[in-house]
Amino acid sequence: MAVKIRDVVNALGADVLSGEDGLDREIGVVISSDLVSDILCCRDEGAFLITGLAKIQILRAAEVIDLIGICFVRGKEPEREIVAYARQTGFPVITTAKTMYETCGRVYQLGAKSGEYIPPHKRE
Amino acid sequence: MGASEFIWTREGVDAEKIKGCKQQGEEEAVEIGRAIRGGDFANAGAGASEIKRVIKKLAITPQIVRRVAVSSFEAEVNVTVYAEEGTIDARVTPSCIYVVVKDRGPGIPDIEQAMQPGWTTATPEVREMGFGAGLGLPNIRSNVDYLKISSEVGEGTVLEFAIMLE
Repeated sequence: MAVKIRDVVNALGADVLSGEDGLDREIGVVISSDLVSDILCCRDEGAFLITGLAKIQILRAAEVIDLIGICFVRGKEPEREIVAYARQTGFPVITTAKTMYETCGRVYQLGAKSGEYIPPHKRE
Repeated sequence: MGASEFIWTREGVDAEKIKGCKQQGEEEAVEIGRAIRGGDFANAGAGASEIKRVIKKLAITPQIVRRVAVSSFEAEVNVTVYAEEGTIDARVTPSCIYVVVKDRGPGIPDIEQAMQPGWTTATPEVREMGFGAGLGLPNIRSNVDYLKISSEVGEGTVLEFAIMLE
């Protein structure tokens, strides 16, 4: 059965900051990175991002590759404009105090698949 | 020092077609343009978002939309990170998408080196924002069919790329 963002929220005890209506979106793959360029290498459909980078740039990158939602880890307080922007577009943003390691571990246990990472120079 | 140029065409892509794509022709075209301010990280990628919004409405596959959006985003971020100001202009014809990103900035002394994955001159502040991993230009090349970079040290850089629709 496909893992939904709601399952991640429950498994982590995460706070939902925006996009309540999108929590039943099914997660295609999960990616995890703090580097914008690495995130942009993702070509999978329906990717959900786990990151410690709570900046507006992440949301723009999310838009570029059609992420379905984001989880901020380590209790990162996202900038106010992130939450405002995400609410405006109904984009699911959740946050957890757990570490990157524990967050990824728990989401992996739910059965979510990993996104594929191919560095740009290996693609040509 | 001085001017330098880098041109790359994906194997199997017709160079003549790219020339046709770049030139103003008879073909109907959709044009999108936007200014980029150096250091304005809050708006970095806004031009790419706009281009994406526009081309999404045209009959273009999601894969191509993504390639255009990622390349435009990376090019725009480069201007935000390194230059004083710039512009991003996209031209969409039935056969291809041509994007030109121009800036007034420091230029790139050695483009071949800048194309190497991991090579970066970004400051720690920029890296803290998740940029400056040295993957921008390689990432652009992996997504486009044609890439041209012309740069003059102390003046600025023009980066152009094409993505074929046929």
